[in-house]
Amino acid sequence: MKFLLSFYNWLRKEVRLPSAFSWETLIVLSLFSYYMAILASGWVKNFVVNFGWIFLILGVFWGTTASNQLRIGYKTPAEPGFPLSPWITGALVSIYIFGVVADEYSGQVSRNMLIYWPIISAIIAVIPDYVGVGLKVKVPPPEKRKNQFLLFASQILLSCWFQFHFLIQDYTAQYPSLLADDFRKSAFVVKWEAPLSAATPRGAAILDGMGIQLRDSLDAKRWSDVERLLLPQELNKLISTNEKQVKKRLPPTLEDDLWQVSVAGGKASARGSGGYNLPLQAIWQGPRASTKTYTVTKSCQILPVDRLANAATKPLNTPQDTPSTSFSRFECQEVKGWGLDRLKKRLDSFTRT
Amino acid sequence: MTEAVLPLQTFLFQFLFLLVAIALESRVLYRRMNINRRTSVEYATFINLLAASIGWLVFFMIQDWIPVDFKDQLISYIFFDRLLGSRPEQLTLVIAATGVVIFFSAFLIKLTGLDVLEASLQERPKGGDESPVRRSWPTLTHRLDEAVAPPKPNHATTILLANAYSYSAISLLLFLRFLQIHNPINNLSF
Repeated sequence: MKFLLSFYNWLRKEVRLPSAFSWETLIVLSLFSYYMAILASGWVKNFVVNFGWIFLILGVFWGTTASNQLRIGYKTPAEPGFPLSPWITGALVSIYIFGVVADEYSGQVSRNMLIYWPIISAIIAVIPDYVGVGLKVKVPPPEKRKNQFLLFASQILLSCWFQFHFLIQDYTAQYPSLLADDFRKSAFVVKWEAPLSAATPRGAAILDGMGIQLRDSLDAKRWSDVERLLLPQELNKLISTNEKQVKKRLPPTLEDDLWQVSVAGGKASARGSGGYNLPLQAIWQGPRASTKTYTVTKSCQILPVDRLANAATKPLNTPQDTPSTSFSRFECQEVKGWGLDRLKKRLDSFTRT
Repeated sequence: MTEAVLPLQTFLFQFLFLLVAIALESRVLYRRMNINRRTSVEYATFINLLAASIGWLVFFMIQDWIPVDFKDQLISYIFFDRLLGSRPEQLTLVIAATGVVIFFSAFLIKLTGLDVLEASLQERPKGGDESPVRRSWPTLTHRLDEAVAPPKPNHATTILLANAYSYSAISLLLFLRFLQIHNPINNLSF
């Protein structure tokens, strides 16, 4: 309690308002509103928080515009340099409009804040020229108008640049396989990579999903059923239905249409020691850095397992004289191919050194 | 995020092209219009920034509305500097047509921008090159005067010339970049 009193006394001594009509008053008012908002709740809280922000914006605008230090190249009062205050105020205004008013303040800078910040700053910089004495609208002289045109044009260009940045982020979110590719020839973007970045092409995720789905239909089934499924037409149907299901399960992106899953070689090939090889491959037909198409492969095997070897899983009431049917076992290896080999090489060399 | 894809080159290239274009166009404006150097630089800056901004806005609208396979081509061009699987003749036709359209639309935007800028900056009539008052019976000396006086600067030809200069410079820069990227000759490395 004593600490609070001494803090309050220190505050009163240090923070002196030069007069009631100054920008510090507004800042103090906004702090006061914020403090009230902590105590309040419901719609009163919203109301008071908004007021707090408005006071803060007005106070900062007044304070930064009146200050002589926040300019580039200030020499005398007759030639004030280039003011920085509209941009500072504009940042606060855009945070207020797109954060607090739109009610999506999640603690991080949303994209609209950054995109509209230059334009709002330009508007703020221009307002003093249009408001004359006694808050009447006046038309500014021609030289100032020329500067205003230039200001607006340059700020709109900056906004377009920021929007292009967010557009590129959207593209990489919609087409994640691009991240695993090589941007050296690009005239527009550059990629900054951390050494352990693990961007895998999305085809790897699709093929892993397919492996899991195919396990349902091809693992631990009777060998005759499995052989029927491995005939070419049935196999194609199986692959395409599973591909659709896998693509529906993964979070949808626009690039899923450009991955095509098929069996390398067209059909399952017989292995020498019984059983079949099923090499799944996903072909990427979309934007890529070289002219060949990219493939990612996952080889799977289907092996016959003799019933007698799985004595533990034999149902107890199986008649003893059934012919030796075998069951299938379905196993797959890791996904290999474009993007992943490079990644493994890079990770290996990193850990070796 | 451990990885970031940033369009830094876009900003740098556009800044470079704007500088070159402003320098060339201000010189053309200064010589052909009756304005001093500083005003010509300001005019040139304004019309180039305006053309760049409108170009960006048109780009954003286009990339919203095009069908998906054109969008793939666009993405492939942005990220990898090539178009997916098109034949060479089609490619050059597309690039040439795009270049012509961009040139003429930039010319129109710059012309409009210059007219708007001049119109909004004039509160009083231009001093200096007012056309002489027409008399109702032009005598011989008056007609000779009009014939030898320098023609009133025509905005359209000025802007056309300025645009031609700046686009030639930009095409030269793009060609140099093309040489550097696609055919790294050792003594041409920048």
